[in-house]
Amino acid sequence: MTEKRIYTKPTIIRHTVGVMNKYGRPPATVPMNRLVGYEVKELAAKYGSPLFVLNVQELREKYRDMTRAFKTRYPKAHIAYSYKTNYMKAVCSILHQEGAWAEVVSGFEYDIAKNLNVDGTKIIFNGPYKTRDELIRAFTEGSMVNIDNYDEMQLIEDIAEEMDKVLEVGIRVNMDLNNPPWHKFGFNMEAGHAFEAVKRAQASGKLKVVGLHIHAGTYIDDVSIYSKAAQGLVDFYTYIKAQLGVNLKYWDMGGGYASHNTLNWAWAPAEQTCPTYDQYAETICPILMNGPFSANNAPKLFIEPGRALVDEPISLITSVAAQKRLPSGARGIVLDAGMNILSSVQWYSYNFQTGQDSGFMVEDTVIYGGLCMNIDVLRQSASVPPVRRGDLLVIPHVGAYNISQSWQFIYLRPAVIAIDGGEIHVIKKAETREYVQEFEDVPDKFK
Amino acid sequence: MGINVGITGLHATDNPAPGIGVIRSLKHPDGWDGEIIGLAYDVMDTGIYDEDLLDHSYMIPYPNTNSQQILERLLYIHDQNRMDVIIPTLDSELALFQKLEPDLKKAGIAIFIPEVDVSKKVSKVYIADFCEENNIDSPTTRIIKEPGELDKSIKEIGFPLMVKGVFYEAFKCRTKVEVLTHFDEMRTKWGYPIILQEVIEAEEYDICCVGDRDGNMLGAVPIRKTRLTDKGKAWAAITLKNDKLYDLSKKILKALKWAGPCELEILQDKKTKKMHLIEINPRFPAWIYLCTGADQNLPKMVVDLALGKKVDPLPVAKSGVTFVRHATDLVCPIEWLEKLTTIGELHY
Amino acid sequence: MSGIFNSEVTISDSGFLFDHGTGLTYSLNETGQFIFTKMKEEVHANKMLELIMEEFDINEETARKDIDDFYRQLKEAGLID
Repeated sequence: MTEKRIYTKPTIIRHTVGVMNKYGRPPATVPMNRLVGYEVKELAAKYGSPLFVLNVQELREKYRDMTRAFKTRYPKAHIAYSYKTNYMKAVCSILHQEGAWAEVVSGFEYDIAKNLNVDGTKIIFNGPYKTRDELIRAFTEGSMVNIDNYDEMQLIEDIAEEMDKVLEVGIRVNMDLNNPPWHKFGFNMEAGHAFEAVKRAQASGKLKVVGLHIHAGTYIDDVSIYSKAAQGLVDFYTYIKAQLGVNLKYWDMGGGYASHNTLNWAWAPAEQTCPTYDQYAETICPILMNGPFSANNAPKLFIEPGRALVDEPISLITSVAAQKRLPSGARGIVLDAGMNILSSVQWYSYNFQTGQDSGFMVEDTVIYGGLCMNIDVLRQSASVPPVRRGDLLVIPHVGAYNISQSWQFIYLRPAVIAIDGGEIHVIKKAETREYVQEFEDVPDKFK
Repeated sequence: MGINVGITGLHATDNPAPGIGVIRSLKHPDGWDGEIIGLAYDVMDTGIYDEDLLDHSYMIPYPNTNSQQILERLLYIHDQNRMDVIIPTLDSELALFQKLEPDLKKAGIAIFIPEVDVSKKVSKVYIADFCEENNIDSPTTRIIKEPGELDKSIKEIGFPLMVKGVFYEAFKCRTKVEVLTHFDEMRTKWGYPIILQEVIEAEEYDICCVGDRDGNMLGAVPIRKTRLTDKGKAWAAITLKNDKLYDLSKKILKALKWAGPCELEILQDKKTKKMHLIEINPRFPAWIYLCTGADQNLPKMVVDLALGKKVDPLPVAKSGVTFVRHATDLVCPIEWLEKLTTIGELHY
Repeated sequence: MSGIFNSEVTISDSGFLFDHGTGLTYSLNETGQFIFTKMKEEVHANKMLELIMEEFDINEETARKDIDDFYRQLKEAGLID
């Protein structure tokens, strides 16, 4: 008996202007049949679809690599992980095992860190809204608090009075760096607000400025923005040192480091434009090392990456629920995952890679999420080979923001598993109706 | 053994890419001792149907594809038909080839393009800073990053002024209402930043030059466009002898330590006679064959530079040479289309 | 009309299809090309499943659904009625 030929789903594709061609078009769908050594099919069968999958080793390596890039250029550099990008306990815990400090922006996040036994002195407390109780807790436990506005400064002065001691604080500053500039956080340098803020804090007798914090923006792939920010910090420190005698214990370059995801409006793919950790470090560190101090008296340098650490190590497995032909002639497919668990589709053009061999004949396809809502479109046009209901697609690099910003809406949210050294751990179970409704009540008279 | 050259940008419509002009220059006057390999992004890239110009054509993925996939494809082609040099000719490819350069070099494919930080200095957003730092005249320019800056910038520049996008489009505006209309359009379409620029009543010149990476200019052909399409592309032009343009180009290439070809757009103010630098395109212009006609074969020079040969500056180009663009129809069998569509390569 | 197709069609060994009536061109993958060639030989839809199963490594249920879907694609493309 002769061996049978390999089967793929029979397909015909009409050539449009700019004829379809596997070389001339982005072959965006390299099959990704395995994740961290496991068959995607097996993972979905066992843990359900959709399914978030964390590659633990990759996360650890990213942390180590970024630390190396900065520490070799600025020995007192340290990473404080930006909790908001993904504050799942296991994710934070892995990074703390590696030595990361916590960067939190609310009392809730602060509580997550403390619950993971992070020492208060290893927590940086940022954010434009901190309550009185949260601030008292943070100062009592020795955290670094960066002041965002005068109302907060006043509140902290009151707390200092109450605690009857001089509190060490950082000042959040902003500069005209981006398009459009980020003026939301902290005090503006160009307008002189930042200098006034430091002056006022020092003059109060209740506060002592020991830190400066700047956050240049989000997803910054133009390193020159960091060089401007770093130079701005150096100039500002030099000035307040001379004028006000400020001696910094730390300065903090904030976050904003990009990942290998292509922005919706970007033409070139992220892997061509996203700087490496070394490029970021090489931009920032030499400038800061030129600050007004001798090398061994350098202030501690914090960086607060989130996206750049957790985006790439997490993938989402999702399955095809249906496919349809649109009146325009284009193909559409519907997935079992929607914007409710992929909020970053607002910013990113994700890749959709098949979880099984599907041939090379790709077709431009509209990818719909599974929500019964017209806006739930995950990508307007992606190159996808023929797929049928039940086939799996893998979306790489979904670790930042999607899980912490997910909404429970229409569907229950899926499980998250972590794969580490050949072992699979469920780090978050799939939601159940009981879990979602746990805090709800129907009073008897409504029944 | 001849030198094989891979060339991109083969789509020659009424807004032509430079690839065809580059190939014709290489083949000028007595043919090219080596193979010419066309690298096409689309089976409808017109140039690949010209069997007199090309020895082989290969489809490659668009430059905004994952660079690893493009590299693999280029190395596959290299394996089939050795490429000693690649000359990229499109703006959109520069970042890609800058990234691939080390890997291509390892594989024995030479390329001669400027470094990342050099080309970035002359991108639309930064070029005004570059001019200021190097004492080069340029129209007053404001980069608008938020609407609050608009009023102040309009006052500083005065009317008429140009509203420009970072990548595409430019509108001349005479009133504030016009500025606001185009500004809003542009913001919706492309986002920030948006560029406001002084309009200069001026003569427009273009110069194609080649730099050697050490700050020397090895060749330069200044032209005036004498006929434009409705898209503002040159349809006819004439070469010039103009010391001011020549000296300015030299100064710019020296300041940048530019490597490879570029096209400078220069405006000369009618009143003050000052030369203003408007833009630098990091590639050959579509009218590159005119340079060859003016006794400066710059594509051949770039091949030599890529191969690390010593290249001396060329004597001043001949002035008064003219080109007129002339569209023609190529006829070919459907099998060509089939081959390019299905296997992505065509050997003539 | 030429057979079941709405106009004359030629298909190359590489799966490149040219519709002489409309001037449109298409690509077919290997499986699609197989079915298409059989259709040109006027193999009836009922027999197609059998031929596919003989030629390719595939189970009956999947093949049946896929053939059905392929005919629908041809219809949507206006190649058959």
